[in-house]
Amino acid sequence: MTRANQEMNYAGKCIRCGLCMSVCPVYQVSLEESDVARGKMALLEWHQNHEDIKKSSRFKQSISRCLLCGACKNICPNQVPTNDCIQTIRQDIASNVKEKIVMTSINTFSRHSRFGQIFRKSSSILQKCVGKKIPEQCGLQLRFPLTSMSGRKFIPKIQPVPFTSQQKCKEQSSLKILYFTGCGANYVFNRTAQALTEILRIMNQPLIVPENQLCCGLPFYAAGDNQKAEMLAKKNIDIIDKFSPDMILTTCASCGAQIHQWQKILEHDSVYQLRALKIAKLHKDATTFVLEKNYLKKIVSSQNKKIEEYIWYHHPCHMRWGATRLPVPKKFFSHFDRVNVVYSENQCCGNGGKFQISHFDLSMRIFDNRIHLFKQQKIDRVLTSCTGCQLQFLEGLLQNDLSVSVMHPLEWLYQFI
Amino acid sequence: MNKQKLPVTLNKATINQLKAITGKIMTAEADRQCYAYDATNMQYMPDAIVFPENESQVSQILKLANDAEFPVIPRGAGSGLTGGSLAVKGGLVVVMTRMNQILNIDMDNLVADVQPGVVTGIFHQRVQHLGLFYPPDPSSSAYSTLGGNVAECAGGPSAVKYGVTRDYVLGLNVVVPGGAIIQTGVRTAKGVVGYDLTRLITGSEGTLGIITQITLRLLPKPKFSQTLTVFYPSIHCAAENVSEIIRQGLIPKTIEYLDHAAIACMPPDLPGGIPSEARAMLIIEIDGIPEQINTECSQIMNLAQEYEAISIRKAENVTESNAIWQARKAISPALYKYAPDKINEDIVVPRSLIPEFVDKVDELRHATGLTMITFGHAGDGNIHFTVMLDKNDANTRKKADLVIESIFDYTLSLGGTLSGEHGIGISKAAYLEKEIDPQTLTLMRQIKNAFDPKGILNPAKIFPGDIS
Repeated sequence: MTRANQEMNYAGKCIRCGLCMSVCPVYQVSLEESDVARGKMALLEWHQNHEDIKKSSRFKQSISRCLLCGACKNICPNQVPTNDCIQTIRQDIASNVKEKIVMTSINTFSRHSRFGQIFRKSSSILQKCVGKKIPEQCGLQLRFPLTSMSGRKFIPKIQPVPFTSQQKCKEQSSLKILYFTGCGANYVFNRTAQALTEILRIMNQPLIVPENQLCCGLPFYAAGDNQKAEMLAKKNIDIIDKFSPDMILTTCASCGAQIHQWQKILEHDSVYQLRALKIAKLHKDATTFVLEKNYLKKIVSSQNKKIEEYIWYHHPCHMRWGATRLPVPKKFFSHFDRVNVVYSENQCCGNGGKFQISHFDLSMRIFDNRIHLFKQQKIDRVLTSCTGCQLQFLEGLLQNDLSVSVMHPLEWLYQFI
Repeated sequence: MNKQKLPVTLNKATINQLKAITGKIMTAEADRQCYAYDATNMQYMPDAIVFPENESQVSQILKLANDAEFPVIPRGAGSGLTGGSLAVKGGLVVVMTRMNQILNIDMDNLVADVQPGVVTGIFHQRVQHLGLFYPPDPSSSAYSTLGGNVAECAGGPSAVKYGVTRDYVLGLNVVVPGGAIIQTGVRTAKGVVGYDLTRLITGSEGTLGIITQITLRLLPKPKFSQTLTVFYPSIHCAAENVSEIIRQGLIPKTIEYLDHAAIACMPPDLPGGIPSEARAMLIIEIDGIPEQINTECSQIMNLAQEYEAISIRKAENVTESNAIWQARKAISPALYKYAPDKINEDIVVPRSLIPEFVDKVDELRHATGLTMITFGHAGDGNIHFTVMLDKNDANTRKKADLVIESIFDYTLSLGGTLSGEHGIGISKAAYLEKEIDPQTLTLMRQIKNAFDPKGILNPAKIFPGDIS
C-alpha cells in the first residue's frame, strides 16, 4: 500500500462529527466547510474516486488553505491524522503538476491590487538583501518569495554574516550539545542564537554549531516537495552524526518538530530512518533545557528580578501538539516578581509558514483575532519560540500600527544576565 | 456511506438570481461535496450553497424558491445527528453561519437578542462574563449554532433542573416560504396573545421557516457549584438512587449516569480513582448558594449510602470538578476504542423506569453479542443508548437495526419517547408512526402545509414515507 493510500484510509475514518470546527483557525475566520478538517477529508475521499480533480483549482485551493497547525488532529475523536493527510495530498499534487512551489501560485493576489507598487518596491529591496545572502535550499526563500510580497510591511533584515559562520570555538566537554540553529536564527534572528550561546557559556556548557548545517526542510515538506525535504533531512543527518552529539537543541519550535518528522519522510530508507529516529530522541527545546538546569535562579541578578514589564507569551503550535508538545513555560517568568504575562495558549498566530505567503489576507485575519487584546492592555513585548510565529507577530503588529518588540524568550532573558 | 445521484433542481437563470441576492453562490462540485454531509455522516449532494448575511436576503431567497419551486435546506454548523440539514432532494443549502452577531444583552430584563449563526459556546462565554447564565448546553456547544439548537430543540445535561432550549426561547423572527417575515412570541416573562408559534417552530427542524433572529431568556449565574462522584455495585442501585433524590425534593443541576462500559472509557487518573467493582456511576452537580449546597450535598451523600454506594466523593476544588466533567465529555469520543462505527439513540424513559430499560439492554446484549453502552442524563431519563459496530459487517449491521427497533418499541411501552434532543430528521422518520397516532400525524402534516404549501422547505424530513 502506498503512503497516499494509507492516508486516504485515515481520511475515511472521519465521521464528520464537526468537533474540528471548534479549533480550526482558518474555519473560524472563513466559516466555510472546505476550510475545516472534516470538509477536507470529504474532499479527499472524493478525490480518491476522481483522479482528474487533481487539476481542479478549487480542490487545490482548499488543500492549500491549511496551516498544518495540528489542532484538529489533536481534538479528533477518531484520531484522523488530518495534517498528514493534507501534506500527502499536497505532495501528490506537487508531483503530478510538477509545480515546485505548489501552493504559492494559488490565491496570492486575492484583494490587494493596490499593493502592486509596494510589491515592486519591496521586491527590489529584497533582491538585494535576501536573494544574495540566503542559499537556495533554505526555507526562508519560501517565506519571502520575491513575487508575493504584496501588502507586506515587515521586511526582514538579513544578517551580513550567518550565525553559523561566526562560530569558531568548538570546545569539547563531557556533554556534547549540538545547536541546530534553523534558518531563522541563522540568517535573521541572530540575537536568539547569540543569547543561547552566551547563556550556555555562563552555564559552562559549550555548544557545537556545525557551520554547514542546512534548513530543516519543513517549508518544503509543508508545500508537498518531499524530494527536497528528504534531501535536506539526509544531509542534516549526515552533518549531525559526524559530531555524535549527546543532545540537540533548537530555538525554533518548527525546526524541532521537523527533526521529529524526518523519520517519517525517510520511512522508505530504513538506514536513514533509524538514524533519524536516534536524532529525534536527542532533540530538546533550548528554553526547556535552560529551565531544567535550574540556572535561571542563579543567573538572574536580584536587581533585574524587579524589572517591570508587560509580556505577551505566545505558545507555538509546534509546542502545543504532537511529538514536540510542551507545557507553557510559566516557570520561566517565576523569577521575575513584577513581570506581567499574558499567556496565549490556544490560538494559532496564522503564519503556517508558506500559508502566510499564499493566503496573506486570511493569515492576517487569523492574526487579528487577538489584536483587540493588544489595544485593551499594555503590552511591551511579545515572546515566542518559533521563527514563523515571530515573523507573523512582526508583520501583524506592524499592519495594525502597533509598536511592540518581538523576540525569543532566551533573547529576552539574556538582557538580564 | 449513503450516496445517490439526484436531478439538478436549479437552472442557470435561478442561480444568477440567487447570486444577485447574496453576492456569492457556490456551485462547484468541490464545494457541494463539503455541504453534502452533517454529523450523521450520510451524504446527499445539494445543487448550490448560499450564505445570506441578513433577514432581507433570506426573505428574497424564500420568495424565489417558492416561485421557482426548488428545495431550500437551512443549515447551521451541520452538526446535527439525524440529518436535519441534509439536501435529501437536492436544492439550495442556506448556511446561516454568517449571521453570527449577538445583537443585544439586556441586563435589566435578562433577555438577549441573537442572530442564528452565533456559536452556542461563544454565547455561553459572553453571558457568563456578564454574570448571566444560558443553561442549554448540548455536547456540541463548542461548534453548534444557536439557530440549529432552536430548530432541533437541543438539550444537555442540566435539563433536570433547567429544562431545554425551548424553555429559553421567548420569541423568534422567522422567514416562511414565500418570503414573509413573521415575528413570534414576546420579550417578557409572560405572554398568551395568540397561538404559541414560538414553541411550534422551536424543534420544527427547519421545516416551517428559517429562523433569522432569536430572543432568549437568561438567568443570573448561580454563585457556586459542587460536583459529586458516586460509584455503585449495580445499575439498579444507581437508578433507584436517582429516583429517590428527586422524590426527596432535591433537584441537582445535573445527574449523569454511566454504565460499566462507559466507566471503562474514563481516564484512570479520575480524581478519587475508580473502584474496580464499580458497575455504575453517577456524576451529580449541585448549584446555588453555599449553605444550600452544603445541606443538599450531605442529604444526597446520605441517600447514596442507603443505596449501597461503593464510594462517594466530593470534588475538592474547581480543578477536580473540571477534570471530572472533562472525563465525562470524553466518553463519547472514547467509545471508538470498542469499534469504528457508532449508532447513538437518545431515547427518554420516565426516570423511575431506567432500571427496567437497562435490564432490556442487558437482555439484548446477551441475545446479540453486540457492544452496547448506556450513559446519559439520568436526571431527566434521557439515555444515550449506543451500539458500537463495524458498519462494513452486514450481519452485525442487520442485528443492530433489529436491536434499535426493539429498543424503540420497549421505550414507548415504558411511556417514553424516541428522541429527547436529537430530533427526527431522516434517521428516525421511519419510526415516527410508532409514537405519533394517525390523527395527530395528519394534523401535523396540515400545519406543515399551512406554512409551506409547495413543500419547498427542508423536504422529506420528520414525516415518514417522504424519502424515496
